[in-house]
Amino acid sequence: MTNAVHPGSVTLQTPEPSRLLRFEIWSGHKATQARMAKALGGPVPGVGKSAELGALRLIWVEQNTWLVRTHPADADQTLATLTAALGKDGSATDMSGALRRLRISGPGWRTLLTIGGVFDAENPGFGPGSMAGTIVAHSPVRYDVISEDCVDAYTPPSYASDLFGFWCEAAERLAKAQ
Amino acid sequence: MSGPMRLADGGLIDRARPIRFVFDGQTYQGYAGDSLASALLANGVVLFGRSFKYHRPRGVMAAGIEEPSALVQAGSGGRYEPNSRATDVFIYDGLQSQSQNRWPNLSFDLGGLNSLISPFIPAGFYYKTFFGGPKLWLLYEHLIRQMAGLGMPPTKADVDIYEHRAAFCDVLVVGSGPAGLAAALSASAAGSRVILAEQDERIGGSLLTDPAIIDGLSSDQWIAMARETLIGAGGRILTRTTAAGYYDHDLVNLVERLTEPGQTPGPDGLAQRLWRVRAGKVILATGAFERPRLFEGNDLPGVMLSGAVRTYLRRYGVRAGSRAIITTDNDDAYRTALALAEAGASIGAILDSRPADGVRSALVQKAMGQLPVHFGAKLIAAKGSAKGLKGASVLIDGEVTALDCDLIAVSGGFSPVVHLHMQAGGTLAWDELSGSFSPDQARQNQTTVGAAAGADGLSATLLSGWTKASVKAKPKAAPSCAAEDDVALNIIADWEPAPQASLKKAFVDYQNDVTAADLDLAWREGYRSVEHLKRYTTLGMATDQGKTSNLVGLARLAKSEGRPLPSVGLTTFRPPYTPVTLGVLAAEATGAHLDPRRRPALYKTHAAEQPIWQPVGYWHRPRAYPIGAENLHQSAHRESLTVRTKVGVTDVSTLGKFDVSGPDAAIFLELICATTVGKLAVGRGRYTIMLREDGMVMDDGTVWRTEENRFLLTSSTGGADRMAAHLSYVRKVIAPQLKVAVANVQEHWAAVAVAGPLARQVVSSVLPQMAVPGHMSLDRGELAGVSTLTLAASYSGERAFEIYAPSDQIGPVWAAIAKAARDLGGCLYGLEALEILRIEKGHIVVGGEIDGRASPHDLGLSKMLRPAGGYIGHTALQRPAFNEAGRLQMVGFEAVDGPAIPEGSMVLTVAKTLPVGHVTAAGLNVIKGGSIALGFLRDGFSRKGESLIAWSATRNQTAKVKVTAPVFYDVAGEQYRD
Repeated sequence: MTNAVHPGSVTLQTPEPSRLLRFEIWSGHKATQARMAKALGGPVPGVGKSAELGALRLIWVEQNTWLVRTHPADADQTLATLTAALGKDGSATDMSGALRRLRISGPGWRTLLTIGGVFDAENPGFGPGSMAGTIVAHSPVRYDVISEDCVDAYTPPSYASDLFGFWCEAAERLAKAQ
Repeated sequence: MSGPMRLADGGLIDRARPIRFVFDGQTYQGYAGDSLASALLANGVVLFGRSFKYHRPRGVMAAGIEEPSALVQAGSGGRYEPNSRATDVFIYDGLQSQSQNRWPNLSFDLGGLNSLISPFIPAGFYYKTFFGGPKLWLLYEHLIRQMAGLGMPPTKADVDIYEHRAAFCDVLVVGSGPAGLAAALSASAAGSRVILAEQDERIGGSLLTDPAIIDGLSSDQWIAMARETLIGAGGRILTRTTAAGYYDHDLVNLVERLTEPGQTPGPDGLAQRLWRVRAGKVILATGAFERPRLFEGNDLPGVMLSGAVRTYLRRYGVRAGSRAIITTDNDDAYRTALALAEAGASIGAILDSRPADGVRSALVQKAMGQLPVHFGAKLIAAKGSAKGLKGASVLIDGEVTALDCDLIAVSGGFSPVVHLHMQAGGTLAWDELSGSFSPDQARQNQTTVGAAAGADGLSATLLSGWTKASVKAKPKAAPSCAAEDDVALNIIADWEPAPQASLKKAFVDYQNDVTAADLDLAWREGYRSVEHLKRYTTLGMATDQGKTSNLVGLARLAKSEGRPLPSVGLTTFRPPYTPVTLGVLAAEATGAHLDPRRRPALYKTHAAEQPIWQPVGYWHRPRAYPIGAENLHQSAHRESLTVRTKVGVTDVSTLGKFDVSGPDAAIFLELICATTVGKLAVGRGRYTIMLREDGMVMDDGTVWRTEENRFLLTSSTGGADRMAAHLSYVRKVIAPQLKVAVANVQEHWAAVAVAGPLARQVVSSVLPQMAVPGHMSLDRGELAGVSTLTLAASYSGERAFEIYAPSDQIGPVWAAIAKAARDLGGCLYGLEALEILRIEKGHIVVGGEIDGRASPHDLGLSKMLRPAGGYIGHTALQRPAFNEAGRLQMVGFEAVDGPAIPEGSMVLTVAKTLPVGHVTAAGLNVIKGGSIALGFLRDGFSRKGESLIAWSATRNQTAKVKVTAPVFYDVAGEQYRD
């Protein structure tokens, strides 16, 4: 997958590898979330939200479940921190190989996500710190809006090559249409 | 001027931008903003095409998408579109267009002979004529298709790009006439996100034909204001965009034409875009179609809908004739008469079928002062040819009179365009006076406004759009128009032709050549249901979908039935009502993007081996690794034999994998799995099956206890997504109280399987620091610097291991294992060999033996079931039916002295009797040779040794088989162990 750069429109990149950890809370939700907040340096994001906590990116993925993106060098330590904070009320798992991250940036990213998709990426309420799970061209994908100009997309690695190719073609069309 | 019929000035065309285009090989000139129809009319062309069946000469009847006759094919090669309405193609430089369904040319068409024999080929004649066997029908069909039809299909692949886009809004407005614009402005003023879709290339709808003063602005100014207001508020205006279908939950598909038919797209290559719009509310402002009237020769070139005549005059500056007759049952046609007169045409008569003693509107009174108006009058017959009209026979004051004319403007009332309302599940209300159905109840969050809702007059139209659109607080007052622009229709529907008119050439459906006589004949022959009548006569079919003909046809049926029109019923409004291209429906889903190709982590490594690939769902996996000139069969046989005698390596990364953790993990898994798994010791695993709630087997796999409170559950590749959904459902719905986390780690872990008598040797060589685990045990190690998890499990029937590593690190693990295996004379093996081996061993597979209909009992797995129950499916399994005689039970089959057992064959007791079972998978006995199979047989467990027949109807193959146990290799399971 080669980065596709269209200045003024959309740029697609495959960022440096990072590690993804998943944690789920099954009991003592309030107290556990408070422990997590203390351990991670901030509250875990609410439903449909994501947050930057220091070097960590926390993304809500489903009921009582979050993903943590971390630098590979810090992954083992982060996993240990999560496990300790969760205690008997939850569990953490390394999911690094389960999802591939693609970064889409530039003013046209919202338009790009509507192509072949079924999600309201143009909704002004879907701003930085929002996440969503959807389907694009049959491929499952989760979005994490990083900034007004940038979104991360997570998809299983088996789908990543085709999805990246699909988006590259669409990005090229968007750039040419400008 | 671009032609003899073009007026010196006027219209919304850009006279500074002449455009050259070609029709039937002749070059013409029009102006930017011209439709193909208006440009040809301006050039004096009256003959546009030939009719479907009788090859009658046809001109242009309408000015919009309701045009049934003037169909053309545009473009060429890979950029070609047949059956385009000349009224719905806007000309561009270089447009190449052709008429259709004629030979050798449009003016001299041999198919026109059909018209001479038309009395012998009425509706349904082919049902009564073409008898004989199926082969004879192929001949008939060929001849019929030569003689009748529409445009030619494309012969080259489409070269353009199409795209699907998602869009969301608070309010979607379909149609940008006065009602649609008022609705969009109202919704926008209330702060809603608005999308406005307009089929035409410019917004304004009827205001483009009938200018008016609205809120003190000219209609041009008001339209411009509306556009600026909507865009300024963040709204989206889509022109050349048709709402093609209305689906559940207010999903509306919009097809946006970015190019005209045959036109080269812009730099992005996009020809069309399909918008899937989810709207909070949908406003349908789709207007109304004018109806034709029944008289002899009502299809001749020069007979046009009254509103269309006015549109050509005012929007395109084209006067369609100089000597006109108007026939009407409403006031609107008077506007056409006055406009024509103002443009210099002579009006021979206004034939108004309404009674003479009716109330006269100001408009009618104005016309009566200037033009020859006759009430209670009808048109009997139009006279003319392919070259145009020569005159008409009319009925005035009970007397038949001949009048000269070259144009007949017809208005048989207006039918609200209600198809989207009906697709959304709505109901209709009937108005007897105007003879029209208009929307009644809406089943979704939609409302219909303007003429589509039966609003009469511009003032009512604007008000209806404004008041019904706002989903929030009502903003200021509705737009209002000048009194003189507020013209009501005052329709008194009149379906009856003049008694002197011959109905054999009084057309109801112009596109399908259905006459009033055809409908009467069909009724006499017993076609009383409107659905039957439609299919027998072809009324309302093809690309036209009865836009102008349906109500006229229903009225004819109602007359025959002697019933009120609404009681004869309506046909179904299926999408698309207006044709869309197949290209835009497919959009990106062609070629490489037909569906995604899921690539395993080792995809490139496999590709370097040049395997034969096999699609498994979206996955692409190696089916075999042929060497030299080996074919699939030879390669798979070599690979499976190597596994049986030495060692083989295969990629099993695509298996479903789930990390189940927490103090209640074992309890959760005992809900999921029908076998005992909770008592597994750490480091041990077990084969398991999972049932649906109805007791049928849904998948199989293995469970491994990796830690005290952590398990790894595997399931089949094909069932992985279903299993993920099932686990999520059980976790969240059935057992939300459990302290357990379930993570889908299917793609986190990649895995390499090593199988064969030398598998242990391979594992110990690549993981020397690890004690090789015994069968159904696990251990951890490090291979090529990568942490691994080794599970000792076998699918092939040999001593085997699955070595797991994170998918992004699996490459060196695979390389080391593959090298070690090859050093021992082993090989890589693919899915085909895997299939052969598992059939021989009698292992079941999802999609084969696990087919959604088999219980654990049927599969011979009863002894595995946890006696205490408590698993999903256990309750349903207690049903007596599961143990009754006659169930299909899994058995093996061996071919007896002869051909191999065909895949997918039926199993018969005696030839040509009903099947008693079927083959699910067939293969070969790797070591001994011979053909073997797995399958189901009625009461199969008790029929071992019986001789039967396996017969494949589709392959026309038969094999004699003997029923066996479904295990052909190592029945005692000794090969699993060292």
